[in-house]
Amino acid sequence: MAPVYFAVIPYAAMVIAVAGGIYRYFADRFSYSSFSSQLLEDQTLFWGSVPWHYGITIILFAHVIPIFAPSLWVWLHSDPMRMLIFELIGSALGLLAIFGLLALILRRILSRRAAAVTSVMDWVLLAGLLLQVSAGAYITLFYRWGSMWYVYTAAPWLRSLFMFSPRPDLITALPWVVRFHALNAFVLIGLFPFTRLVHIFTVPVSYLWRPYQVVIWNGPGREAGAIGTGGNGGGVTRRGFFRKAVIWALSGAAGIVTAVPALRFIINAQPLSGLVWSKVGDVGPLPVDSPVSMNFEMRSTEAYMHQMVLHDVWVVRRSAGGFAVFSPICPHLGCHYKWDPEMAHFECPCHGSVFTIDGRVIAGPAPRPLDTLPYRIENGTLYVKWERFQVGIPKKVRV
Amino acid sequence: MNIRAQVSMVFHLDKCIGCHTCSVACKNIWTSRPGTEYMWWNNVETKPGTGYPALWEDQGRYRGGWTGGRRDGTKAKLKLQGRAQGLANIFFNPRLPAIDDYYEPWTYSYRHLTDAPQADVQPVALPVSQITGGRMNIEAGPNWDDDLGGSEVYAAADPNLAALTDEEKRQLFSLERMMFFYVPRICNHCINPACVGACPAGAIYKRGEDGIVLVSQDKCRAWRMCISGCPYKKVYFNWRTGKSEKCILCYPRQETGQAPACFHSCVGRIRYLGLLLYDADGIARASARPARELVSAQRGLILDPFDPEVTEQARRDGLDDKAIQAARRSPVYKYVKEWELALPLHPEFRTLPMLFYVPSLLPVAAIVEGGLYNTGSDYFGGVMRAPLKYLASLFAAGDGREIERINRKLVAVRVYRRAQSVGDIDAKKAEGVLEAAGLSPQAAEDIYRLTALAGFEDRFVVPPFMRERMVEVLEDPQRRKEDAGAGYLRKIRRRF
Ligand code: SF4
Ligand code: SF4
Repeated sequence: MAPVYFAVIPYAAMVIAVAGGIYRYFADRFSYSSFSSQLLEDQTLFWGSVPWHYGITIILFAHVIPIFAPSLWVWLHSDPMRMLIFELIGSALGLLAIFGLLALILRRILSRRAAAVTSVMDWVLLAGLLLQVSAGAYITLFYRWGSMWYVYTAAPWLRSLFMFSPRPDLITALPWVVRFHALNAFVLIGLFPFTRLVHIFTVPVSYLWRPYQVVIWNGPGREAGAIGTGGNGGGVTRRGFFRKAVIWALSGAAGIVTAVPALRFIINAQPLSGLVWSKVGDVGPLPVDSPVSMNFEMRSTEAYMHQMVLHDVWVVRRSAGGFAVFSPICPHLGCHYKWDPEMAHFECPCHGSVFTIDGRVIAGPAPRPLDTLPYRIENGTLYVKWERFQVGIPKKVRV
Repeated sequence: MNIRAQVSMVFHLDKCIGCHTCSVACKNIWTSRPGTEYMWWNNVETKPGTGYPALWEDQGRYRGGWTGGRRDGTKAKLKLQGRAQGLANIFFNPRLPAIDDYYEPWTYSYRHLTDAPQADVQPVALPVSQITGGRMNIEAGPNWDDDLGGSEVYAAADPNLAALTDEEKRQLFSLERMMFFYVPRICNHCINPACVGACPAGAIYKRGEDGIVLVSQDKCRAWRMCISGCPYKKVYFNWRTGKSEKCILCYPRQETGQAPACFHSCVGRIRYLGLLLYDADGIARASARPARELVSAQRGLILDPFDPEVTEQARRDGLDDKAIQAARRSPVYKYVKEWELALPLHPEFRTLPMLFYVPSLLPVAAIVEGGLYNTGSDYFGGVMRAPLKYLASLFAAGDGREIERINRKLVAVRVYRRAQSVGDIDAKKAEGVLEAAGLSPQAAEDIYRLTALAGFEDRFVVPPFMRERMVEVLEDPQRRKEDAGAGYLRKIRRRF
């Protein structure tokens, strides 16, 4: 079922959002509005709208950055103190958003005036949002250090969606609340063209630089401007038909662009990149029984994108002879663990899992030993096959 | 120089009888739809009074209009907020009037009169809210303080009274000295509109050809900053469609050569409409002048349509000959520029409003001299019943001299006419009075004719209009009048 929930539904939602949003914009622009009800009720609104919007906007950005700039995010969290601060800020914003959302919901129930301008879709949307932020807050509070492991678990799944080579398996190992949170997010995206959510895409940033005064000339002589207040033709004139055709074509094209790779995935659900040997570096200078983090560049091929990505591995030269190469991802929830030279063990900062130099678990919630990677040595140079494994489960399953 | 044309207006307050015909005409055409019940694009206020919405003039509360900025006109800012702040406040506009600052619109449960079950008492139609549909108590309405009703509460709170001393205020509300007059208000179609400047979406615009300020209903996203930005509170929020709406100066009527409905229907014939030519390059500088120079600065922007240099430049700037002809016949030009009889309302808001008022020459406190009711031997000796400072606060940013000059002219024309029609005033003396007021006999005659005798053609010189391109001539613009408003041809629904 994973491909349905975590690949088909997301793509369906995105197709609906893009095509529906464009169709609604061109066919019924009048209905694009934030539908503010401040005129009718402005006491509770302040306590609802302001915390909600600020809280949720920043949190949304925090969800998006790790998808597109994972290394930046990892770097930001590399220091435990910084990570703690991020976690605290995130939790506070989450609670703020919930507080605001609850105020907004109560307001629409308790104020007769606000209730009078609340549509059925408003209620659907409010319910969906409440579920979403509640699940989000639960995850934040009960699965600690999500700001860190997110970048190794759900973010790669999201990135795979945007790269058009979806990997639903990346998310199936996560707890059900996380999976619900992910699924509901796409349900909300699918609701986009049918609710007031469309106002998100009309945020008027150009106000920052446009001239204060707007003058529009209707006639010839000066450069003509946009349309007036008036309505658009209702009957089927030739121009009306042309307009409709253009609208359909536009939204259709947008839908197809999103739908094709999604369909391709459903018909032919195969990971698109194979395993290759990557050159890591010289093993000559490696010390004995002291793990070293080595990084290397690897060519990755996903959908239309070919790019070099940077990976790192822990390499140990064993006193007994031979080497061990560990994936740097904690098998618990996917954080980057570290070698502690003083205690002579690996330790994960997120949930405190501890591993021996051989990768065995000696403390913490990790369900299995550190993941080893296949390697070979040629003329003193180390080659590694980069792979990822599902986190959070006792078995080592390739993703 | 960059010459533009502006459809401008003059309201002659001495002639307004406060009948509200104008408001009703407007409402029947434009705001009889759900969501707009509470809007009065044209409203008539009693002054002193708090107005509609309550205390709209109090910019400490609503922050409408512009700050002056530098003297050369740069760095002008909205009083409301800076640009970044405008975006930051988008989730909650702290300066937005609430519906109760206007009033909650209501109707009556008329159906109950016929549907009520049999009972011992007669059924009554109770007030029901037009927003919620539920029963309500009527606690405010349009013109709640009409004709000084409840003056201890409403008129006493008039922000313009701040210009008076306590003693003057006391006298103003004593029975023998009481005075009031009406101020009909519509959108001023300002040439430096703050509503346009405040709209984050850029949905409000000024039409280039005639200067009418409109809200594009397709671009408006309900950010509601225009409502706060306009110091006259002449943009309203349609709570049903989630769009701002405002007076459109009946441009569809004007496009077919008719005067706007409120002008057309005005019982007191107080309204004049015509084109003014002005220099758009001077807007920034003129609106940045110290408060008391604003009236003359605005007058300075208005150009003489008879000046060949002006007409030459106007043609270069794309105005056609018909527009220039219309500007020459404009009654507004005469009142505002030629005779300097009309003033903008609250020029200190710095939006350069293009609706001008001839201030009311309320009954002069007169003396009876030798059995004759006389306003003083030199006709200026009488004490004005309306405190000069009060009128100056309304129409001249506190500069009483502007009002005084106009009062002199208005009295002089009356004296001159009395000398002619009744003949109990020496013609020489009358001309002396005219001269002292700075008027020629010809000007006095013209003022008299335009004020007292003018017909439709003289009062409303509707310039040739450029039709909005999207208006489909073949469709009936009234088709969706009841739900979407005149001119909207498509059904509008709150679908989602
Ligand atoms: S009166 Fe208000 S709404 Fe009308 S143009 Fe001026 S600022 Fe805009
Ligand atoms: S119709 Fe004319 S006279 Fe009557 S209230 Fe309106 S402006 Fe005044």
